[in-house]
Amino acid sequence: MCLSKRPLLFVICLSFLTMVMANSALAAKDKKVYYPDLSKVKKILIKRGYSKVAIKCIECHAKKTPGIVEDWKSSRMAHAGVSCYDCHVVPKSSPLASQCEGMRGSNVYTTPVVTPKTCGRCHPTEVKQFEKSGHAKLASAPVVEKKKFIKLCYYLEGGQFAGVPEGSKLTLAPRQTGCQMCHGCVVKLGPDKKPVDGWTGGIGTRYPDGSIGNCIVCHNRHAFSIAEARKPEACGKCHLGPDHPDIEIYYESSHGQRFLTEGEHWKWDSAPDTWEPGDYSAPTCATCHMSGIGKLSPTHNISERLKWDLVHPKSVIRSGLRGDGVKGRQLMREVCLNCHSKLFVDTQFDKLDRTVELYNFYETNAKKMLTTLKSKGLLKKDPWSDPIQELYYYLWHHCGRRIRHGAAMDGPDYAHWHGFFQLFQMYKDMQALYNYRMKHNKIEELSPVMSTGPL
Amino acid sequence: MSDIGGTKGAVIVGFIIGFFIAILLALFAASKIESTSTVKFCSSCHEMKIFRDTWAEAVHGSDQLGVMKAKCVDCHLPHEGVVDYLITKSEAGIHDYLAHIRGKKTDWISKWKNRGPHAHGAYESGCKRCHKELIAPGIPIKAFTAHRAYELGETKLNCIDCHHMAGHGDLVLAIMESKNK
Repeated sequence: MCLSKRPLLFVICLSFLTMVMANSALAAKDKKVYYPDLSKVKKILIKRGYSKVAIKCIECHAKKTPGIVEDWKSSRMAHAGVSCYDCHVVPKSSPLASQCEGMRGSNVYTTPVVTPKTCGRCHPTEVKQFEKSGHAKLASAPVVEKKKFIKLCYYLEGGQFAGVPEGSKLTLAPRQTGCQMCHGCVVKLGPDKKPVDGWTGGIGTRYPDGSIGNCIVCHNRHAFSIAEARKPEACGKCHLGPDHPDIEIYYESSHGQRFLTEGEHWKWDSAPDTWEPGDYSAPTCATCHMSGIGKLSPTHNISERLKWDLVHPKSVIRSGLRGDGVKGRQLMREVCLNCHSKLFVDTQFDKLDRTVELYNFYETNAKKMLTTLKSKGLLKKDPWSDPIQELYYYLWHHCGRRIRHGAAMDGPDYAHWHGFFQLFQMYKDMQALYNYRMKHNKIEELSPVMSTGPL
Repeated sequence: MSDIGGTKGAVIVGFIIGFFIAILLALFAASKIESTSTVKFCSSCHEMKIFRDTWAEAVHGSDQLGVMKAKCVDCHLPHEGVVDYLITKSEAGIHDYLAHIRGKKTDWISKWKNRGPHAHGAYESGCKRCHKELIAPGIPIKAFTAHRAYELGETKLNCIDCHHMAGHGDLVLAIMESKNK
């Protein structure tokens, strides 16, 4: 069969071949080009509104818990059409699945505990950033993981050392009212899958579904107001008190002064990443530590813009899980430069670095005293009954933090009168005790330190 | 022509016959690819019973009236190109066949617990074949907000990370319940 002798057959074969090649070429192109396949496309009508179940939630709760519905009603969540169902309904297989009265008997399962996994469905970026920050796992680590703190809150504060029986629920009171409210804890579920032994409070709350973090600490339910989260009071709920008087330091500073006198005239509800100088005349906590400003994007990772770890006994440049201190300093400089000159910013940060170095000097030497005494067996086993150990604690935990935070955020009363002024005197007291013990090779009988410590 | 029956002619004949055989083989392969892409085929192995049953009850399943039915391969194979599709199909098919004849029993729940959040059997390209426009006119604003981060590329989450019940409903529950029976 010779094709060259059969022109018609030749033409047919050639055209067939061309068709096949053309088809495969078209198929390769199809990847990128979108042609609606009208034989398969069905029209789906979407009506704006709530599902029947969601409407049932709203109507019942408007009668049962009107406060919740009123709060939610005028929020942006309601404006966006996010209903009770969207946040509180979980699949039956979830460890949190229970049923509220109204849903009993249906196949809808609810939970009062809304976890970051749920929030993260619409706010994935924020949750992801948050989980990397010091507000997540690190915040609840003292309450959940660290033996020292667990002993403090259950055995010491909980009264076990004084006679309260070990399994008693009374020992939970210090954690429930204190530690957990700021730091967060593990959410324990009862047989009805509702929380027992304490509600979900605290920013580092750990949930049964594996997520960590409590979003409503800063923008409370059910208004979830961004304006609220931007105000310093949102942070001041936990960042206050003798060991880290951050809100007090802020109020003392120039930033705080302007906030206190003019803050009610500022614009607080700008859209994310559009809240810029001009909306406010001075920054709040959120402005510098989180919000978008100038070229910087907003972040829920509050550790991102920090250089120093000003929390622990010795201050070091942040690294590892605590963030990137070198980058943090650069980012914070960029924030400050929005309103301040380069000279001012340099001076400010030099001041802080100098303060940290001086404080570290004191702490290192104080620690050395303790180490020497320990090696000679001259430290009491119980640090809470040992005056020199108690002094060291207050030196770094209370006084030392006041110095560092006061220096960082311009709260001179705290940096000085509650800070360096007390620091050198406590150091002298430690020296006196140290010298006594080294000289007499024994621990003194009575403690000269009152337990409330030099506040 | 004296070439007919000579070597030159034989080569040309060979080409033509080979050409037609190739067409037949291609059509045969295509029909096999089609037939192994049906739900009936995938669910012919008993290990797949729970997946088939949960799929039928879920939103893309056969029990739904008036809604587009999605076959197993529509979601569980990538649809970004014929070559990618065929390679993944062959790999998965061989793997499943070997697992079947070895009688391998999988504890799905603990397997899923240890996987990372983005590892699951289904591909996004399957969803996108039908759900092309996420920001359609008339869509409620909450749907827009939910997809904003996704559309802007701010998140690495994909369709199934949030819409994890779209394929097989509450699959974890179904497996737990079947274990208890």
